[in-house]
Amino acid sequence: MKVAKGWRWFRPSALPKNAPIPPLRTEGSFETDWARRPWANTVRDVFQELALLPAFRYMASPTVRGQERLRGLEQPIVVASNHVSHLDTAILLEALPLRFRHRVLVGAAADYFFTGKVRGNIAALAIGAFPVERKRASASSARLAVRLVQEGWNLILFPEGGRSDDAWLQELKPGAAFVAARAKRPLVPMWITGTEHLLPRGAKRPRRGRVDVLIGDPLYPREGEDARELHARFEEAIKRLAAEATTDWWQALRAPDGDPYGPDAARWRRVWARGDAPGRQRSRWK
Amino acid sequence: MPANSARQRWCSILVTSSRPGLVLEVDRRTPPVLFHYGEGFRLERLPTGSRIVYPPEPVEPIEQPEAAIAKALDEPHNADPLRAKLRPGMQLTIAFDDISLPLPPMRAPDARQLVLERVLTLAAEAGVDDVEIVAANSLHRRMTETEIRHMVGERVFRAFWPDRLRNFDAEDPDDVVFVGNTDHGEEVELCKRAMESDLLVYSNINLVAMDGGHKSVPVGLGTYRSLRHHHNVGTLLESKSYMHPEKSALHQSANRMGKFLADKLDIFTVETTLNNDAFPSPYDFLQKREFEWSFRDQASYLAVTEGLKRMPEGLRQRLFRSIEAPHAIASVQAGETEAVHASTLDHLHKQQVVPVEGQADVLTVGVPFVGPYNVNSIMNPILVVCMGLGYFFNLYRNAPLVRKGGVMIVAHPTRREFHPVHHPSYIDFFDVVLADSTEPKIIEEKFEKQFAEDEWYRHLYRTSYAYHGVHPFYMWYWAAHAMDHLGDVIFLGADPEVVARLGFRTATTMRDALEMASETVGRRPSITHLHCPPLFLPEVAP
Amino acid sequence: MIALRFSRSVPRYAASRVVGRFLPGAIPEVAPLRLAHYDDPAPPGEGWVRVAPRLSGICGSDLAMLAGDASFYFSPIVSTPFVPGHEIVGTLLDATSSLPEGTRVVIEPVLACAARGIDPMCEACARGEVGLCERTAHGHLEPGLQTGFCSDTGGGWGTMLIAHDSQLHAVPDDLSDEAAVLIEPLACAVHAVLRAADPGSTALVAGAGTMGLLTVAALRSLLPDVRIVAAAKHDRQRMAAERLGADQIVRPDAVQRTVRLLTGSHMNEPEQGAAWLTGGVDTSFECAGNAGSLDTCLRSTRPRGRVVLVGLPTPSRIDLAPVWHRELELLGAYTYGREADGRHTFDHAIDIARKIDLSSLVSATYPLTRYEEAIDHAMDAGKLGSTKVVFDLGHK
Repeated sequence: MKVAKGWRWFRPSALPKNAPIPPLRTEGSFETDWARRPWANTVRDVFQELALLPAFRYMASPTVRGQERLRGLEQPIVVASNHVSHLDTAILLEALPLRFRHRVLVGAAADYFFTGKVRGNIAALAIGAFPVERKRASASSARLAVRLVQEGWNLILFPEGGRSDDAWLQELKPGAAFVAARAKRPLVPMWITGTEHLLPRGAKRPRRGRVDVLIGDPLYPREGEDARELHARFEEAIKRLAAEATTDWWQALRAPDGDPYGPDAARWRRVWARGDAPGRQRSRWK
Repeated sequence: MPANSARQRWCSILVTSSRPGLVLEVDRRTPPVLFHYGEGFRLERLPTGSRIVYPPEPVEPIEQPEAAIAKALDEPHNADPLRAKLRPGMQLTIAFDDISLPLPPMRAPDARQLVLERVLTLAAEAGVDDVEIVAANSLHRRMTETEIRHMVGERVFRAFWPDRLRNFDAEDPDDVVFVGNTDHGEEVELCKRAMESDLLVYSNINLVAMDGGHKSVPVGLGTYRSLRHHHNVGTLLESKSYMHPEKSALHQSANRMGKFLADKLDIFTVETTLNNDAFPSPYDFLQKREFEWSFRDQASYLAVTEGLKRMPEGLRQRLFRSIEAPHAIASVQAGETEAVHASTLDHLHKQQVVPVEGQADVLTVGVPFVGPYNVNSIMNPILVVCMGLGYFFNLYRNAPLVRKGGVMIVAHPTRREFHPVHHPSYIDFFDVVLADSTEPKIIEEKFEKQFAEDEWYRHLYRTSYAYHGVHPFYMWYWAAHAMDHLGDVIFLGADPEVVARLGFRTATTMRDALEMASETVGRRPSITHLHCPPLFLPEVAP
Repeated sequence: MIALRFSRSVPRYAASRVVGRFLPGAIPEVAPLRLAHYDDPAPPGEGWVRVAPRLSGICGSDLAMLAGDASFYFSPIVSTPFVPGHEIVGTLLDATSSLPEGTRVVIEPVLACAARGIDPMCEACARGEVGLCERTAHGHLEPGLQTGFCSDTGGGWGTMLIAHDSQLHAVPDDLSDEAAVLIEPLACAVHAVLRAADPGSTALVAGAGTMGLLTVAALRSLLPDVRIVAAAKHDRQRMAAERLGADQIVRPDAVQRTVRLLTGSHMNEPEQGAAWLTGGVDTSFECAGNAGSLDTCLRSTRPRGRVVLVGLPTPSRIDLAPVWHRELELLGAYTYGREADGRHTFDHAIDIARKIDLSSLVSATYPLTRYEEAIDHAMDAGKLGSTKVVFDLGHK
C-alpha cells in the first residue's frame, strides 16, 4: 500500500498559498452538541450522581429551602441565581429535584470555559455547559439558549455575568429573562449563600463549609409581556429572595436595609460586611 | 532532704490554678531534670545542691477576650477612645508584631487576630475606607501567605490581601521616609505609609519584658539606618539586661526614638500579654515539674523521645513545626504607649517573675527547637548561640543568674545545618566571617557593612523569604554581653567542628561538661539550671 | 634498560575502562603495562644524549591513559609501545656541547622540530612556542608529542632514556631532586598563569591536586596582588593550598557562595543543574580535569572572563550555555615554551622552585618494582592525603 510522499502523519495539512483562509473560530462557537446526545447525557448523569454531588455534599453540607415552590412545575424551566463561586453550579444542581436534574444545561462563560479544547469538552460533558458570550454583545449565545429550551432542556444561567468579587450582588443582565420570555417558559430565581467561603474567586483549593440555597417562586411570562418587563420582575424577586435568605442567618454585620448590592464603600468594607464563615470557631478559651 | 520531698509532694496535692515559680534545690531523691535539646530532649542528673528555677504556672486567662479587647479600646489609658479617633476619609494604618512572637506560635485565633478584628469593626462602623495593615517585621524575613492568614484570621485576610495587607519592606525606597534625628543624634527612619497616616494602631504581643512600649514602632517599622544606632556591640554590651528595660541601653535608645515619633505621629498602642501555657498535650509534660510527673507524663516523655529517635529528619522537623501553643490572653490594655506599657509590664511580671537568691558559678540551660528567628525553619549554629547566650543568659532582672567569670553550659546538637531560603546570609557568616574571627567588635568593624549593603542579600530579603543580610551580625552581637561576662561557655552534645568554629568547646555528657568547667570554677561549683521554656523572668538578688 | 612499557592492546583497554568504573584499585593489574628488560633506545642522530632518570613523576594524564579515559584525539601523535613518564629529573650519561657528563638536568619532554631534525622548523617552533609544534608526528622519530609517549626515546619510568640537546635544562645545586621533579608540572602551571591571569584580578583555582596547588604557587609568585580562591576537597589539600598562598580555601560545593560574596554578584538557581553567578572571578583555572569542576568554573566566572583548562580534560558532556551567554573565553594551556617576556617557562619555574619549598608536595616515592602500588596510590592521592607520587629509579 503506497502512501503519497509528503503525507504529514497526524498533523494538519499545510495550507496551499492560494487557498481561502478558513474563518476564525471564536470561543462562543465552540461545538457542544455532542455532549447533549443521549449517551453523553447518561455519562453526565452517572458522574454527577455518583461523584460530583456526593463530594459536594461532603464539602458543603448544603441546605435547600423552598423546594415546595417547584411542586407541579413542568419542564423545561430557566433557573437564574446570584454567582459567587464555581461551586454555585453544584449547589443549584443539588437544589433541583431529580426530574429536572436529568436534563439540565449550564450557561458558562465562553471566554473562561471554552478557550481550550480539553477544558471546553470536559465542561460540556461534566456539567452540560454551553458557551455564553459575555465580553461581546452576541446574539448567537441567546439564540442557542432559546433553542435549547425549546428542545426541552432546563437551563441554569447567571445574570450577573460573572462571579462577584466581594460576594455582594452585581448588576443583573437581562439575558436570562430574555430567554425565558422568548421560549415562554418559567423563570425560577434562586439565592445562594455561603459558597464564597468555600471556593471564593481566586482560590485554588476548596475548603469545607456550609452552603444554603433558597428557591424562589417561579415567574411565568405573562401575555404581551416583553423581556424587559420580565427582567424587572426578576430583579425584584431576587432582592426579596436575598432579604429572605439573610434575615434569619448569622451575619455579624449586615449592609444597611438588607441591600443585596452591599454598602457603597471601599472593597475591604464590602468584604468585611459579609461577616465570618458560619461554624468557624470563634473562641477556644477554656 | 526528706522535708524537701515531703513539701514537694504536699504541693502537688494542693493543686491550685497557677502556682508561682519555684527554686528547687536538688537532693538525691530529685529525679533527672529535662533539658530541651533542639528537636529532642535529654534527662540530666544535676549534682546535689544545684538549684533548678522553675517557671510559674500559667495564670488564669481572660474569659471573654473579645469583650476585654472591646473594653480596652473603649476605655484606653491616657488617650481618647479609639472610636473617637476614627472618622471617614482618614488614613489608617494598623501594624502588628510579626511571626517571631509568640513562641511556639499560637493556636488560632491569634491575639492579633482578635485585636485586628475589633479595630476593623470600629473602623467599618466609622466608615474609614483607606486602611492598610502592615506586618512590623523590620529586618526579619517576610511572612508567607499561609503564616499571615493564620495570624490575622480568615476574615481579615480575605478583605485585605494582597494589596492592603503586607509585610514591611525596609529596603523599599518608596516605602521609607527619614523622619529626623533624636537629641542623641540617632537617625529615625520609618515606614512611609505609617508616617503619613492620620492614625497608627499597633497590635502587640508582649511575650517577654523586652517587647513592646516605645520600642515597637521605631524598631518594627524601622530600617537598617535606624536600627544600627542601637543594634550594635557597644549598646548591647550596656544592656544589662534586655528583660530589664530600665537598665538596658538598647531600650533607652529605642525609647528616645519612640518618644520622638510619638510627637509627630498619632500612635494608638494595643498591648496584650499571654499566659505561659506553651505546650499543648501530649507535650504538656514539658511544662510540668519533673518531681510531679504523673505516670501519664512519664509515658508521654518516653513515647515522644523514642518516637523522635526513630523518625526521619523531615518528619521530625514537621512534627515540631506543627506544635501550636495554647497561649491565652492574660491582659489587654490600649491607649498612649507609655501608660499602656507600664500596665503591660505589671501584668507580665505577675505571670513571669520568680525571685532567686544569689548568683551561681555555673548556669545550665537547654536550647529548645524554636526561637524568634527560626519559626517554621531550622535553628542554625548562630541562632543557637543567640538563643543560649543572647536570650537565656539575659533572661534576668537585676543581675545575671551566673556570676561574672562563671561558666554557662548550653545543650543543643548544633549541627551544621542552615535553611537556605530563610537564612542565606547566615551560611556565609558562618563560613567566612566566623572563620576569620569570633570577636563581636572585630566582626562589626570588618564585615558588617559588606553584608548589610550586599545587593544579593537585599534582593533575597525583598523578594524571597530571607532575613536581611545584616541579621546574623545582630544575632552574634546579642551574645556579646554574655561573652564579656562569662569565663567559659561549654556546649553539651554538640558537633565539635561546628562549636570550634563558633569559638567554644563541647562535652558529650554533663559530667564531662562539669569537668571541663572545673578549670574555671573549681570542682564544687554552685549550679543553677534555668528550666525554660516556658518563658519566665528570674529576678536575681545578688 | 629496565622499564615499564605501555603497549597497545584492545582487550586490555576495554578491560581497564570497565574495571576503572567499578574497581579503580585494580587498574594497574589490568592495564597493558609490563616491567621488563628492554633494548636501550638508540640515538637517531646528532645532538642526542643518554640520560639516567633519578626521579620520575606520575602525572594525571598518565593515570587517565592507564584507566582508558584519555581521549582518542592523541592517538596519531603517540606511538606504541612506549615507556611512560615525562616529569623527569636525571643525570647526563654523555656530555653535550654545553653541559658536562654527570650534570643534573630536568627534561622538557616536548619532541618538537628541533628534536625531530625538521628543517625548516614549523612556525610555532620558530617562535619558540614548542608546545604548539605542528610536526610531532614527523621527522626522524616515531610519532610522539612528548618523551614518555614515543616508542623511540624511552621515558621516565625506566632506567635510561635518550634526550635531545634542546630538551635539557640544568638544575641548580640548591634544588633537591624532589623540587626538581616538580619543575615540569610547575612550568605547565606557570604557562597557564602567564597566558590567562592579569595583575590585581581575582582567580579561582578549581582542584587542589598537584596541578591546582602548583597553580596557586605560580599565581602567588608571579602576580602577588591576585586574590586567589582555591577549591579543595580534602583536608591536607586545604592545608597545602593555604601554605602556598591561597587567600580563601573552600569546599567544592561552597565555591559559588564564596565567590558570590567576594565579588558581590547575584546568584541564579536553575531548576536543573548547578547555580550560576551573574558576576564572578576574573579568571578560573580548571585543574581537576573533570566535567563537574569545569562546570563550576564556567558558572563562577564573570562575563568576558577567562576559564583556563590547565590539566588534560577527560572527554565529557558539558553545558556550554554559560560560555555563550556571558561571552567567556575558554582557553587551553598546554605545556610551555617561550613566554611573552622572552624567557622560557622552565626558567620561570626554576626561579619559583628556588623561592618556595615545593619538595613537600612529593608525598611518596616508589621503586619501579612496586609500580602497581605506586599507581594505585597516585589514583587515590587526594583521599590519602598525598599530592605527587614519583618513581625513584635508584640512580644517584
